[in-house]
Amino acid sequence: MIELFRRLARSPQGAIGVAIVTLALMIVVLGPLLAPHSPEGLYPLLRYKGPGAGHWFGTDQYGRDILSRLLYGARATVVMAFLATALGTTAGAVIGTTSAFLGGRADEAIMRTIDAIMSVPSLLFALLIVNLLGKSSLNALIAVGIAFTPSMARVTRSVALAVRQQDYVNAAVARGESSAYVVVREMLPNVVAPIIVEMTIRVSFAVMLFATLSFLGLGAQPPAPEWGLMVSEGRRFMHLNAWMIIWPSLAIATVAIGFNLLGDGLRDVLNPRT
Amino acid sequence: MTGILSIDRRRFLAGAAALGSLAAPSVPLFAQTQKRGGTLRMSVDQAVAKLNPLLVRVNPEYLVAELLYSSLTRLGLDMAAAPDLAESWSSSADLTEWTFKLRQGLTFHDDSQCTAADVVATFEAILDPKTASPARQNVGPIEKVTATDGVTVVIKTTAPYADLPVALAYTNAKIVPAAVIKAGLARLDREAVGTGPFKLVSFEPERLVVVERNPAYYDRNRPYLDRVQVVIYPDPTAEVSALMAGDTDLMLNTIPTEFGRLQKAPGVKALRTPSGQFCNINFGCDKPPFNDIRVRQALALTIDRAALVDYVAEGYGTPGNDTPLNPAYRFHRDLALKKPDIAKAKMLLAEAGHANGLAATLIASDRPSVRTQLAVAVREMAKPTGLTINVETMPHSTYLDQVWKKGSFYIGFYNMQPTADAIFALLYTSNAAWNETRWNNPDFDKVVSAARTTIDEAKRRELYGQAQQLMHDQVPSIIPVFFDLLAAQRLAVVSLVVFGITQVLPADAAVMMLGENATPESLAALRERLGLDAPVWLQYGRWLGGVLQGDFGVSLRTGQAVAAMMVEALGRSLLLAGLSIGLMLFVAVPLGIVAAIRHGRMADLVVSVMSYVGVSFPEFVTATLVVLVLADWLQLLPATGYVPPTENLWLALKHLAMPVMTVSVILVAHVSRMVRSELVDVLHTDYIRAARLKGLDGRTVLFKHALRNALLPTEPRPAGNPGGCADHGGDLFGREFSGRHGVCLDRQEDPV
Repeated sequence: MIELFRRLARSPQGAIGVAIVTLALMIVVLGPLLAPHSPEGLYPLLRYKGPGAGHWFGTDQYGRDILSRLLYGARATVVMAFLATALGTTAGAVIGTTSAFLGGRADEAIMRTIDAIMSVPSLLFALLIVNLLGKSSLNALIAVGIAFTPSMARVTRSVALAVRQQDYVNAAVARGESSAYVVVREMLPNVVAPIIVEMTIRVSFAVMLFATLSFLGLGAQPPAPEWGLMVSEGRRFMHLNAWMIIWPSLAIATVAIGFNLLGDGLRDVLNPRT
Repeated sequence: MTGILSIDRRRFLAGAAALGSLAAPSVPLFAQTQKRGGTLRMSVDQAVAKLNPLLVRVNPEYLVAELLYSSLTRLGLDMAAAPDLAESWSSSADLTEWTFKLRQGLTFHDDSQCTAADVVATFEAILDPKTASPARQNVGPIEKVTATDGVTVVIKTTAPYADLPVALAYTNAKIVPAAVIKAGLARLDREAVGTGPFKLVSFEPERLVVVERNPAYYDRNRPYLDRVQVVIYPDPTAEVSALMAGDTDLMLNTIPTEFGRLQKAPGVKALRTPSGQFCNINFGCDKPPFNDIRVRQALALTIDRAALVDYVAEGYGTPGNDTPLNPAYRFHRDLALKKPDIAKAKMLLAEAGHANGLAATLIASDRPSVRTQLAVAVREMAKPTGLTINVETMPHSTYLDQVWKKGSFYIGFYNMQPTADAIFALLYTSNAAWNETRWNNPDFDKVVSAARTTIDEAKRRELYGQAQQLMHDQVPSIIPVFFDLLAAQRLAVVSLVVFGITQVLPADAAVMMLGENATPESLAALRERLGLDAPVWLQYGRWLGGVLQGDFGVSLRTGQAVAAMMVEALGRSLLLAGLSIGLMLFVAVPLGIVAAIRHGRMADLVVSVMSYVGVSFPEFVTATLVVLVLADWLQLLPATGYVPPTENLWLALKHLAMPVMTVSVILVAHVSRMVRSELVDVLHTDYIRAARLKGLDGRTVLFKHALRNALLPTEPRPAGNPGGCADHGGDLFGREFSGRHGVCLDRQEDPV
């Protein structure tokens, strides 16, 4: 593990990725403690301030400190994205491995269904699910998770197909182990590495997808300091204080870049060819 | 306070509506000779979906109806009735029988005579519930309309009604020909046969309406203008930019967040006047906890009204006092402005049994966005008293369906009405058309109906004063902020053309102040006609049934057939996608190649970083930033609008540039990254090495051998992308910024 980390830190991509993601995690944990102001209080005299002393990132239409809102909002944004990806990954991994294990017609049926679902763009799919379930943060999380499941299932299946041919799986089947046992205990642990890589990159998609959902008014509700919602609200005040859009946009992009780099770095490290 | 405001309002009406009667003296050329001719380009913020004046229901439609049609009376600058088609009028002593004399020799646009018979037929159509005209509820308690001769109309009311001449100026009470009514009003949806100062030239609901001077208008001197173009800009920011760039001469309405920009812009005159438009917090007074008057009073005491004028109206408004009348109305009573008093609010809550706090969900629809802003501000202001308010936003159509008139705690938004009676009877009396608060206060009902049948000005003032006092004390709804009416015009225009429109616009401004209305009955009728009352699956089934019969249904928003709209929008989406993909391939492939052959060096790093950044910004962020920089900071390109290439190629390209660039930027990031990684892999394969060893030059190796194989996996992406790009970049962008570039997913195809 430490060795892996060391190799990861050796590539510039991996190093920057690890740094950004670590920073994001620190903000998630410590953000509210670091925030200089309340994220929700109204300050009528401080509206539309540009960056300056006292308010490093400026203030928004209610005079709220943008930096504080970003620090508080990291939880809503980053944690949600991570959880949704984890949900989609787990579901996708189980489906993909099962499909690979069963093979034949069952595999065919599952994968064609997955193909059909994947032909719908994930944003559209998430919108559909949120509309069906109703608007709330939890439903947005579920929607993003479900929207990610098919592609994760596909990635997992391709890896699992190779694993399925391994002797230890055949041995388990010959032993008379149940299908569930073979899938969960024998196959899943051996497909984890590529899935983790895929998952890291997907976290960045999830950050963006959540931001988009909030932007379209289907995720977090105001006055929550969710980053996508901040951009969405800020758009109306673009001419009064452009920083209201710029900072949360940069925050979203930075986290997305961080997870992307981490994913690429991990791929290089875990890829036997390099 | 009152005096200043009303002067301002009149000055505004003179300035904005009469457009420059104030500005005129400062332009000598103009003060002496009123110039004739010219085209005025006016921008509005919504589609003009229909032309039928009896059915129009949003401001841009009112404007067009006002240009094309006339009423019996019009609203003067003092909100009193002035002559329009009717030259003069009188009433019986008991105010139940009114006689109107029409002008001589009135003609419609089709050269047929406009007589008393047309007036009678028009009012019969208005009063017929099947027509579903919003005017039905708003023209007063009319019992019967008769014509005694060609130019005399007698209107009988069921009860004494002092405001009848004002009520007849209602926006939807426009006179249309009896013959057209007989043949079916549907004809007027896309044609205009009126008596107004302008005739219809062309009508494109989502883009442009053009009218030209009507030479047969009853006032032969007017209008001065040859033409008026009403241009539709769905994005307020773009609308403002267009005026500042000189693409338009006048904007009918703007939003507070844009007004500051207009005030600072050179060559632009920003116009502002207080109006009776307000945002309020409605309580369901029939259900706990808000049936307790103390809870309502407590919340009213937490609100800092002066601060809200800033938060909600950006300072362009006046504080409200929980009554719907402000100084813009004739019978406003100046009561002491309520001030925040947290201690007293806490005490009232404790008395009402909520000493430990109270939680409630405040619902705000997403249109207009000030609703959410008010809700969030109130949430914070109420916090110190122990009132915990959760804000819930929802799409406007869902709100109308599930919350409006039914909910017990939500944000309302209303336009000014012509009279005190109209606003009270619309919202607050027990038999109000929209009795949202279920306040049902008999004392209030009594004074309002007494005022309706009183002629004496002083007595009416006293009665309406009592009504306001009752609302002020009992708080059936909190009315904290009134919005100013904001508009803008180009200065240069005033001297040349604008004065010519004077004839039409004084009434317009008054009309605009009244704004948008739809009665519950007309809504219900409309919904029934459109099948919206049915559950969704049934509607879908009906639609599907219709599709099988070749009928795609009628889009509720514009009245255009959906199939036609889809084809049109699809054409735009394809155009956008095609251009974007072309541009993208042109940029992305070379970038990818450069990065690959310089693998691991500076050029590679630069391209990689660029594509990382491009891939990592959500599409809507990229789109927002592109508009911010190109349209607003640099003012290089229009942010919105669509011009068909067949009409004007240069303008079409200019309007397409921004969305195409945005979509391309997003695609370039993805594709150049892919080209690079594929090409790097290919360049390390044995057959490339073999080709090199064979002595082929680098160029041949690259283009003939490597690139072909590297682009293979890349190709499906652009090919499969019209969908993807119209879906992501295109539509997010189209929806948010251009409003008209693609098939929009989330625009509610629902009336109102």
